[in-house]
Amino acid sequence: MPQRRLSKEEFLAWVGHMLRENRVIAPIRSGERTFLQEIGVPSEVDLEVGRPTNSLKEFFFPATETLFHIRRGKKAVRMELPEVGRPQVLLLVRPCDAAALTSMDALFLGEPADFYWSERRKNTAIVGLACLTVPTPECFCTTVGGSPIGTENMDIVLYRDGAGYIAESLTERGETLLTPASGSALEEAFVPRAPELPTFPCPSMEEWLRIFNDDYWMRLGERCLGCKICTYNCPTCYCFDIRDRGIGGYVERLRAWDACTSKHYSIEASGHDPRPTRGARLRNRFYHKYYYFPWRYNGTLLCSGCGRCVAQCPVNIDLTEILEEVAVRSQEREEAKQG
Amino acid sequence: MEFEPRIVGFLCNWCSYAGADLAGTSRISYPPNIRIIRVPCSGRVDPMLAMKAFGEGADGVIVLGCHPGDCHYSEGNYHARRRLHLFHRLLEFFGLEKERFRLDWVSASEGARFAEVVAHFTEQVRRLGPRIRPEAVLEDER
Amino acid sequence: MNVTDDLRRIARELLESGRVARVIGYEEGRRGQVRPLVARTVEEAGRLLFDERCAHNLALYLLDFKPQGGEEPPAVAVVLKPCDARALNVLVLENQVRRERVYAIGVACPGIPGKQACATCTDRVPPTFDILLGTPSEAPAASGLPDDLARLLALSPEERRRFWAEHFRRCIRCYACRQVCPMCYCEVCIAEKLDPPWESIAIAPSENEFYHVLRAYHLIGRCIECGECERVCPMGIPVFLYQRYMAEEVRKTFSFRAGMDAETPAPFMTFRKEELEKP
Repeated sequence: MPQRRLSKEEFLAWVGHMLRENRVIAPIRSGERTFLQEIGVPSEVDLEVGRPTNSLKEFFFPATETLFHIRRGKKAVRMELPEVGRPQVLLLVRPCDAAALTSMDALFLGEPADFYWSERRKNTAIVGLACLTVPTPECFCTTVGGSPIGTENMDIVLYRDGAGYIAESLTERGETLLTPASGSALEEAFVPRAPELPTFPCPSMEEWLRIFNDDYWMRLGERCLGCKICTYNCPTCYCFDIRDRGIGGYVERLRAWDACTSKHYSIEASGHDPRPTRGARLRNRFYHKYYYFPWRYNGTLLCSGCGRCVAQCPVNIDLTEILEEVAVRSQEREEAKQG
Repeated sequence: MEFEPRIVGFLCNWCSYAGADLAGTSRISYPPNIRIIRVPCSGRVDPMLAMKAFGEGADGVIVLGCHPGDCHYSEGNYHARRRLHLFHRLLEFFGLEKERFRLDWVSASEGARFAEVVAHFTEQVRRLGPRIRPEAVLEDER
Repeated sequence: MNVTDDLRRIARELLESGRVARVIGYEEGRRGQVRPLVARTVEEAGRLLFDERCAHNLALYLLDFKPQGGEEPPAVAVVLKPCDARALNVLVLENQVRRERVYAIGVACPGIPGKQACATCTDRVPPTFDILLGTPSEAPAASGLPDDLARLLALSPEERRRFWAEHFRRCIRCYACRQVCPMCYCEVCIAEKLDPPWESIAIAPSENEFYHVLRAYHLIGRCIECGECERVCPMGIPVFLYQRYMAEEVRKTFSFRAGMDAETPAPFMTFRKEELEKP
């Protein structure tokens, strides 16, 4: 569809327009960090966003949500669903984050589809921001099949143009959303050029399989803190826990994030823990992303190369380094076997 | 309708619980707002029990134990005193209204004092109003 | 600075002689930062380094060498800055680590540039070590409370509550602050106890408030003020503020600083009959 040039002022006016009917989520600056968060006024938007600290998953799959209430009425017990899926717009979403939804869809929209995810997915418009320059040093989307100018799952894509943007709608919903925006039509279509990203090996499932028992994982685990930074801020980590709690005459069923990197995650009812060490838990995280998930879902990787875990790990557990190590160690094993 | 605070009282088995009992048998009236939980010793009261009570809807938490020197276990209330003193500081730092939380001493013979302490604390919490959860603080802002 | 050369030499000797089986130190990271390394061999010891990027508190990793199933864990050496050495003292005091199984490589610390906790720290020499590397710089005069803490204390209680509510909203309870803390060694943290469930699994302001009050309380008289909790927080929550404040209160009330030695009982381990008369 035709492209449109929006000045910074026109862009902000458009955001103001969207705010009237939608919950608008955009990057906002707080101290040294940028967070994706609901905004109240257009001026809150951090136009210089690189990569927000948190991922967009929480706007489809919140850190905590009520799945339903159970209330005892006079005659019967009632189950009540909360209101899900208020129309929302996610603004300035990077291609890696938007692409991450494809992996998450494979899980949440597969049979049986997750009601909460699918409602929110249906009612969310995504306004992407293509990466014409590499936003952060940890980016590695091309390694996992992404593109810095990819438009997967976006309704509108924006290209930085001086202080403003070039906007292009990609879906009908995008077109409708973009209609109220002012701005001038472009005479000549803008053709984005992808910036050069560092590339790393992306080992095949076979390669991963070869080094499952490598000591490398335990050595990594030695310095792993066992926190959940990498998983909670990851756009494709989706593990959760479900628990009921009774409050004031009714019961609420909660769903909240959980993470395989934490100590109690894999303990079984018997008390046995099949992943008893930090190394084993860490290994699970990477195998889930690069082996178990693609094995289950037609080769779809559970990683979009956003680089959050790389940037945020306090002890420098660096996925790009792990990919290299897996490739090298796997190769060594293969050569050793062949003699 | 006037706000009726919900107060949770952790009472030591040896002094304060007996003190409360005495208040009852002596027909001394005290506010019915307090829900009493009997504990072996004031030294058993982890301040997190207070936080849990607040989380479950309490507006005030009071811990009552034997007077210093009178602890059935010799020193439990001395430990309680240290802990709860610093816990107060902590609540203050988080802006969590330390007046909602109190440690005091009531012996088994002080039925009247029990009633007085509970009445005083209940009034104090009543003046503060319902405890405000952080969600409400944030809601307020919008 | 040739602490690194000395460190590598000592680490090699320790490993070679079999005096220790591991040397816990720092190595060069992949992107200009340093990261913890648990060196096992003489070759790995050659990767060790120490410079002003070494913020991590390595005493944490001593907890991986606790006796398990009656089996004596290997002796380890560990690189410790003053605050890290205080952590070692607390772990010894609390019977988590046996001092004689640890070879403490103390390093004189000028403070880590840009690290919050170091701004007002005046410790330059670790309170315990088996060998000291580097030349201690002159300790700066005590500069009182850090600015951000002073600012917060000047606020009204309502404003403080708002300040924390704002931050607790952002907390995702990744527990990085707990995981990085050498003092948080409980086998099952009360925040994750299932029976009874002290804390809901909900990641929401009330639960987050509970968690932070809990953590602050459990570290009273135990926090050694390394500030790692705040450094690792991905969401920028000033978690060290409350630890720092409580450490200050402990100092004022009980003239005690955690981890200055491994014998003096911590405030919650003891009491005096005549004190804090007004409850």
